[in-house]
Amino acid sequence: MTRSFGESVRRRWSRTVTKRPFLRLVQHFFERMASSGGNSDVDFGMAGALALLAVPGAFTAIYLSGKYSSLLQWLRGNPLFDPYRVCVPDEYFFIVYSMAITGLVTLVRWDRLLPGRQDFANLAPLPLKLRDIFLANATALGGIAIIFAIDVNLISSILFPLLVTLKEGTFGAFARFAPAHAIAVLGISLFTFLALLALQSLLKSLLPDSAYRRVSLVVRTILLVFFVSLLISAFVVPLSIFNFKMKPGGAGDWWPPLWFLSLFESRLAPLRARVTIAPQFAVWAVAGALAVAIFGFTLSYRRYFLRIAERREGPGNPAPRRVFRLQSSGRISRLWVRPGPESACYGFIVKTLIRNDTQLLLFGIWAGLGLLLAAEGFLPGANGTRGLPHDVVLSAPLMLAFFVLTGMRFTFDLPASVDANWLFRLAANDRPDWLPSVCRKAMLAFILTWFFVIWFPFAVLALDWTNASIAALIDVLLFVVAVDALLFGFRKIPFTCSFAADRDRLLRLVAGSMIALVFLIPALVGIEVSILTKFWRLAILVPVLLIAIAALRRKRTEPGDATVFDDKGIEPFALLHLSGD
Amino acid sequence: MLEARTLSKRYASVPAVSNVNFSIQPAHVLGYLGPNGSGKSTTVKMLAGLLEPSEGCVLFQGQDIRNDLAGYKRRLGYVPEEANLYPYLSGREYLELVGGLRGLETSWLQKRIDEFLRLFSLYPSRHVAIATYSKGMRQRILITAALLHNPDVLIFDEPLSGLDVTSALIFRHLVQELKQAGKAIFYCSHVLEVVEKVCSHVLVLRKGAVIAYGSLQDVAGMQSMQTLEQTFSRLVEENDAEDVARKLAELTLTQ
Ligand SMILES: Nc1ncnc2c1ncn2[C@@H]1O[C@H](COP(=O)(O)OP(=O)(O)OP(=O)(O)O)[C@@H](O)[C@H]1O
Ligand SMILES: [Mg+2]
Repeated sequence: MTRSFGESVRRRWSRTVTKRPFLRLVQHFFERMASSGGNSDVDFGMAGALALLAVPGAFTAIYLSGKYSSLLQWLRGNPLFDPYRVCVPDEYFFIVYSMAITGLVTLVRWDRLLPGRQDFANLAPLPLKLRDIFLANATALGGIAIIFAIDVNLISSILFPLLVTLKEGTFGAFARFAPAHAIAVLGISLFTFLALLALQSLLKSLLPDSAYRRVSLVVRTILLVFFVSLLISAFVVPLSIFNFKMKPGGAGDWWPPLWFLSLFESRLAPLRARVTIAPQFAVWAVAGALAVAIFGFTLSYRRYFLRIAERREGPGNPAPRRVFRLQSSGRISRLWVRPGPESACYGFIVKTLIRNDTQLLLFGIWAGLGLLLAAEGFLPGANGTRGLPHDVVLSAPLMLAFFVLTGMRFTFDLPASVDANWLFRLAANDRPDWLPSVCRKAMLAFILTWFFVIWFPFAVLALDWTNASIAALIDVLLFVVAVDALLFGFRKIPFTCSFAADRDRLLRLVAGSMIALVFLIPALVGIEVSILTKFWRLAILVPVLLIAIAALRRKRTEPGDATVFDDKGIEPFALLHLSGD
Repeated sequence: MLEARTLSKRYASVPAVSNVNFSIQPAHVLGYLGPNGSGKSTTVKMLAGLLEPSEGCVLFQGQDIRNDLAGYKRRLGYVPEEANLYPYLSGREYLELVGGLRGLETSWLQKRIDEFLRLFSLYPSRHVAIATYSKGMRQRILITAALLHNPDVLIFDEPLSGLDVTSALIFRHLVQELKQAGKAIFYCSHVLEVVEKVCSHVLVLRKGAVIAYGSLQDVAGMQSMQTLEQTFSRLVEENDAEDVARKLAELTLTQ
């Protein structure tokens, strides 16, 4: 019954679509944006993704139900309990969550928002007006943005207003509250999407191709770090104690979630008095973002899409000559790595990590988070004390190094281009003796540079020569232990092994980092502080670390199997719908 | 039927094609030859209406194609140099997309696609994502996509690249059949044996300029040479192949 109904709908749709290639085109762009692109191993499908995204909002609403109902019971009869006052921080959470999740998903799909070379190659030879291609893309984008905003916020938009208006218990109260909430969360979602779209299309149309790649990658990484930390802060900042002072003309005026919070409050009589930012501001923000997005979109259509055939594939101009960098880094790296395969592989690792989009993006996000956390201690007033306490100076490099190392180790498993790894298969089928040392050196290089160039002089100023040197000694030993531990059992050449979809790996990374943040790093800092107060304790720690390094290495240099190039379980090909015929 | 008039293209003021003139009649196949980087694909893109000429124009039935680009593309089949297909679609889905966007009637299209896929030995892998196709399979999908709508003009840019012996043979005969059926065909290639067999006319390009244009017999017989290959290497004045090969071998063998 349902099947035949679905079938008839599909038939009708395909008949309509045949008469209107434009609709077919919209559908195509829709599918293209929703698809994983064919080379990703993890693909939940459109429906799965939508379901997944709807979960956290629903979860929070359910979690909050405890707060509202228990408060209600406890405060029953207490005239001071006002769900409207209590709900403001929660509303703020929903707004921030909507913004963060929209931002993240948009950034994940960053490269597929605007029609690109592949679309030009496939669609331009067809008898379609280029304008139609672009309009269809815009329609699909708008459709996806709206569906997405509704999906992320749908459940919370019903549950949360229900909770808040429980006390009043009238449908009228619900009918006033629900739209206020929905407008705020949908509004900020659309605003975020449009702002990012505007940003990308402006970048694309104003920058030449080669510059666009680099700039877009940097912008995307920064934004990803921003949205990830926003998302974490939305969950971590205790909602009930969130109590911001909104003063007109303050920094809050520049913080988009507050615009939409004002919009929300202005629509509810009990809260109207709190509004300090004009509620129209949010409306103007959406309208402004829409205008810039349309402008940027049209501009990129004229300046980028129509000229794709004129543009070269890949980076157009020869890379700017970097005489200085080449000479100096060449000489240093000759001291650091042995010439021959070791130096070739070292160059490959470093270049892949800083040039290949996937690796750079993941590594950038992870290291960026580390930097954020490491820098957080230096914020004025973060510790409630004046001046810098020792443990902040001591923990910052450990924190950052931890993120850099785990990030590198994680990206080592991701292939840069599996098609190109025959090169390494031919060169290193047995277990080459230079492989452990080259990975170790690459990881250390990404730490020791900033450690000695930035942190050490700073530590000398903040502590003194002796203390800084001792801390540096301990840190370097710790770094070596960490690198050896991370590379324990690693039998691959970085970036060359096919990647089996493995969510456990990501979970392990995240869980491990949490444990490290909460226990390991404070413990290490504690040890360092205790050594700095009594230097003789160094005599215990250094041998311990040296023994650890020796043990890890001895284990690792035991005769092992050959280098690994294939993780388990890669399907030789992917079957699509087998039954459709 | 299809005509290029003083066609020129400069990329950021570097000339890639300069002042090319030719015309193709129905039932003619024009072989378009030239060394790497001589401007063949650039010409092809201008002919297919994808690239704006810097000077000159392309005429279809006496009309500048820019006057009615969509109408022209409706009667054009184009096989580009590189298969940049949507990797997440299956071969059949891709062809359905192309046919759908061309406005072909659905049930007729489906039957046709299946026939094409069978004849091109792609039927068993029709539901497999293009991402996993081999180069030759992708090329056959491209060729199918160019033929689906029974076009009057066909433009092939190195259509044999990646095709195995059988498929290449099939394609060669197909071009001859299409020629007999009155299609105007532009055939850009490096494979001179095939060009010799299927083309009625030949144009040789060097550094963007035409150095020979005429019927196959005329061009092959130029410079009192026997075969097209000999004439071609004489015309483009490339370095003596044997000499270069010897130097390369020396370089390879030095320690
Ligand atoms: N988008 C572009 N921007 C700048 N120059 C280009 C661009 N595309 C091609 N060129 C240059 O124009 C010239 C002709 O290129 P074209 O691709 O037409 O050569 P071709 O004859 O098809 O070569 P091949 O036999 O290798 O396919 C080359 O020198 C090439 O470098
Ligand atoms: Mg070419």
